[in-house]
Amino acid sequence: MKETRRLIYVPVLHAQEDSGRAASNVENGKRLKSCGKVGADRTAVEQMWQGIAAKIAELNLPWNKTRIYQDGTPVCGNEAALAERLAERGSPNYSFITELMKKGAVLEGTEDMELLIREYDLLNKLLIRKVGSERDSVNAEYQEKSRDLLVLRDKFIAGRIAATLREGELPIVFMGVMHRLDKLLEKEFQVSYVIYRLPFRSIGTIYNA
Amino acid sequence: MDFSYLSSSGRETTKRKILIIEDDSDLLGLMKHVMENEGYVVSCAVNGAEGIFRNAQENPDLIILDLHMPEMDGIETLRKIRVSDEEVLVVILTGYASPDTIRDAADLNVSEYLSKPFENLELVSVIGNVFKL
Repeated sequence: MKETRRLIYVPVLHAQEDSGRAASNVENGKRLKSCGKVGADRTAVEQMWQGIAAKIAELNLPWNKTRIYQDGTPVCGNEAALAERLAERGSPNYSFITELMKKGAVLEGTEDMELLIREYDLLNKLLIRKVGSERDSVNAEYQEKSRDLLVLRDKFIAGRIAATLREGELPIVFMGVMHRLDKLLEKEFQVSYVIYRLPFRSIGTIYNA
Repeated sequence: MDFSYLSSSGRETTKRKILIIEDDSDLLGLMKHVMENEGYVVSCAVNGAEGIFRNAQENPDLIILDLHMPEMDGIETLRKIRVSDEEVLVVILTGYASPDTIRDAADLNVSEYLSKPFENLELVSVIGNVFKL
């Protein structure tokens, strides 16, 4: 009987610095108009990642046998360099990923580039078109249109994990809370969740809800 | 009228109202004590039905809500509260954290989702941050 493999799943909230170039360029302009909230966002994001780091440290994972799958990381051949660049730009998510890589974990290309580009294009069109008081309707429209895209992305990621995970390796998956990848993975893996604190109100970006 | 005064930690705080909905009486008592020490006006409910009633009657500024309760769980309780109250801030506490409940919480405009166990100071910090935003 085939033994069910273990998988660590970490639901996260995305900060603006975690996103790709197109989305962050648009958000930067809007963020400058609400500087008062930036400090609070940053603290909440850092606290979230500090909590995640502490919980993961308790697990004593075999880092040299761990493969990381990260929401938003395309299959591109230079995933490690991409992670380091985003960490340098201030992404707490990728800062943590690069720390794990230093311990021996491998970051695997996780997402289909084409689907990610479609996601960013969708986000940019909506964010450019509407501001301020129409934000709620923008958010709702984004959620509706991105839902189908999320399904495609999740299917790709599940396939990517199956195709790239080697014998004896432990996968650890960092995924935005709106993904439903966990439903696909529970069929093939014994999934353990690392969940600490999710500050929805503090990190109120469009990526999360 | 000025309702501000110093909390036990020395910080100035206003008399904001918190409703705690939690079926564990020990934890409920502890959280009530901690929050009252911080200067909040605290009321309690031991199940979802009572929580819905108290929210309607007392109009709290924030609800601390346990997810895992018998008969009516926290998500169902919050769904019913949100039918008539979209404004109240909600902090969810759970010892049974899962992606499903996280997604439900996101859909119901929850401010914070906190997994048990947690330190008292952590809870105080989370509540304070939510009120600041």
